[in-house]
Amino acid sequence: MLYYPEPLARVISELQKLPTIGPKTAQRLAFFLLRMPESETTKLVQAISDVKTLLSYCDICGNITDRSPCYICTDPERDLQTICVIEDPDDLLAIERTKEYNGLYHALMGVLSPLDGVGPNDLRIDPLFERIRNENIKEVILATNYTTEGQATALYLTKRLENAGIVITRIAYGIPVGGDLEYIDEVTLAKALEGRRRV
Amino acid sequence: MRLNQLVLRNFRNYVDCEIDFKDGVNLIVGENAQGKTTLLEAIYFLSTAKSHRTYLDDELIRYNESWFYLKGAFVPAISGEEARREAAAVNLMTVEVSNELNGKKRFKLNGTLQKKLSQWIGQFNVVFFSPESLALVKGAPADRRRFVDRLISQISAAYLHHLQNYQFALKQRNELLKQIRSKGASVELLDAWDDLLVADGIALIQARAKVLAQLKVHTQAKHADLTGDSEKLDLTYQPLLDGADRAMASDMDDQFRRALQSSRHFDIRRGTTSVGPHRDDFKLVLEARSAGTVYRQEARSFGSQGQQRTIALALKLGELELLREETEETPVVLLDDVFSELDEARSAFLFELLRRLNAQTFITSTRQEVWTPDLGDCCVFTVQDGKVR
Ligand SMILES: Nc1ncnc2c1ncn2[C@@H]1O[C@H](COP(=O)(O)OP(=O)(O)OP(=O)(O)O)[C@@H](O)[C@H]1O
Ligand SMILES: [Mg+2]
Ligand SMILES: [Zn+2]
Repeated sequence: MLYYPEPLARVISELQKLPTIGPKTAQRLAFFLLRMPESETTKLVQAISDVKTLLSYCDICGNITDRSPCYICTDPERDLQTICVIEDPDDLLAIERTKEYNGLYHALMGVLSPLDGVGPNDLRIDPLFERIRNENIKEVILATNYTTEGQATALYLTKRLENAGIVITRIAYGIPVGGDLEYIDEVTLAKALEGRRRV
Repeated sequence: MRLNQLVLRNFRNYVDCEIDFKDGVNLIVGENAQGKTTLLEAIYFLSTAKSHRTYLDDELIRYNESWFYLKGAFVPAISGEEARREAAAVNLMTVEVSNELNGKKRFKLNGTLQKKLSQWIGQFNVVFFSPESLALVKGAPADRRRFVDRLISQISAAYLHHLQNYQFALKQRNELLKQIRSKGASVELLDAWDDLLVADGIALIQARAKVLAQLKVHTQAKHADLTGDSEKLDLTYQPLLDGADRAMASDMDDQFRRALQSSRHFDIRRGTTSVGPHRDDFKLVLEARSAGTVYRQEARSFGSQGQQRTIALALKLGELELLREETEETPVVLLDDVFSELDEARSAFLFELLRRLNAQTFITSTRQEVWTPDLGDCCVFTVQDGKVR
């Protein structure tokens, strides 16, 4: 058994709690930190601590922000009549990177999953309905993942929004750009055919 | 395609073993508990990512070890000794799988890690026949469902995908039913899970109806060959949704949804879903003539031992024909301990058929003498304590 001095062991064990960091990587990072100038480690510590103290979730859309409402919810240039419903704030960043969407967002902070004990009250569903009632919303785009739970959540919302007098759409499931048809699995291909469009 | 080489490491009682197999019949001989069935199990695992005798992959890891590894190397199936020797130098395909204790299985195809099981599974197909195959006739509906599900999954990756989705949605729905009963969760929430069950469930029912109709034709033909036309076998799909095998998809959609609706209260009380393809079965009916009268009887409860064994064999041969038809390739045939199961006439029929199909066949037995020269050529492998000679 290798034996590390206590502070080193502690930093290794803390680093290991991060996703994709195994014992070997944690050890390498710890030794790297040890060799870093103190001014650099101080900056790192400060940045990590600021993430927690300065950032929070936007009260309206659930985005990660340093002020609430966030820059998207307060941007007058955006289409204020469309809400894109997503599972987590990470998905917002992914959609923003496309620069194709100019509407608002609403993060549910999860998906329906009885096996994980997650019901509608554990998600930001009531706030969504409140927004639809109070803001002048014309279209809701359901952009939950194409997993079983993501699908169930989209179906549940569809049913509850049926009579709200708005357009409900679901993002399409399809072939990745640059995807060679020959190498795409038949399930994805079948779904893509199902969702084909007139050109 | 032909399995040219099999590698087993820490797999049951094998430590590290490499075996070069031959075309045609490979006879695996050894005393009890030496590792004969384990070889067939390894080949089966490389095709299906499952064992034929346990759900628990960790049971397959050698005692006191923490992982197992299997590899199969395949060459083109070419007849003619010269061509074969040439071809044997080139691997057409390698399939590898490893499993860590309490961990995940990892799959490689031609040396490349595969993220999706559906892209690894079914690279080559197997038909497994053993004394336990009798459960297809005598066993519970679940035994027959498993047979059908594995058969169709070998042909269609889409089916496997629908099956996995369906089973997961079913688990979620059943949990929700319990939460409605005990924690007052809203009944309305069932709608979404019902929709998912209907979408994937109907794909399952349609595929089963189609494949079982094909299987019926092949099985009947083989059964007739085995019994010399004295009996007639009938195989009918019994979807729990009445008539669902004949209905149009759109009608079925409606029917399934309504069935789920009307059993809701019952389901909530029981905490489980009572309708759907997870309860399907197929029925085997034997039509026999006796003293001028025709009897139609369910093979499960009325068939004699011999009749039931013949039906089980006919089903397996039907499976073989169906896989051949669908994949345009003869599956690898695994026969575990069949001599204890089949009389001489049936064995002779079976081996004649396999020879005609030029199927690569693996047969286990405790006695080498069971293989008589009139059955054709075979290559003998002796297994002792996890080692092969
Ligand atoms: N995880 C394991 N680790 C080590 N040995 C195992 C493991 N699982 C099973 N065995 C042993 O492997 C041996 C081989 O079993 P196998 O079923 O292959 O025997 P067999 O040759 O087919 O015997 P039989 O003629 O009785 O059918 C048995 O002795 C069994 O106890
Ligand atoms: Mg055995
Ligand atoms: Zn916001």
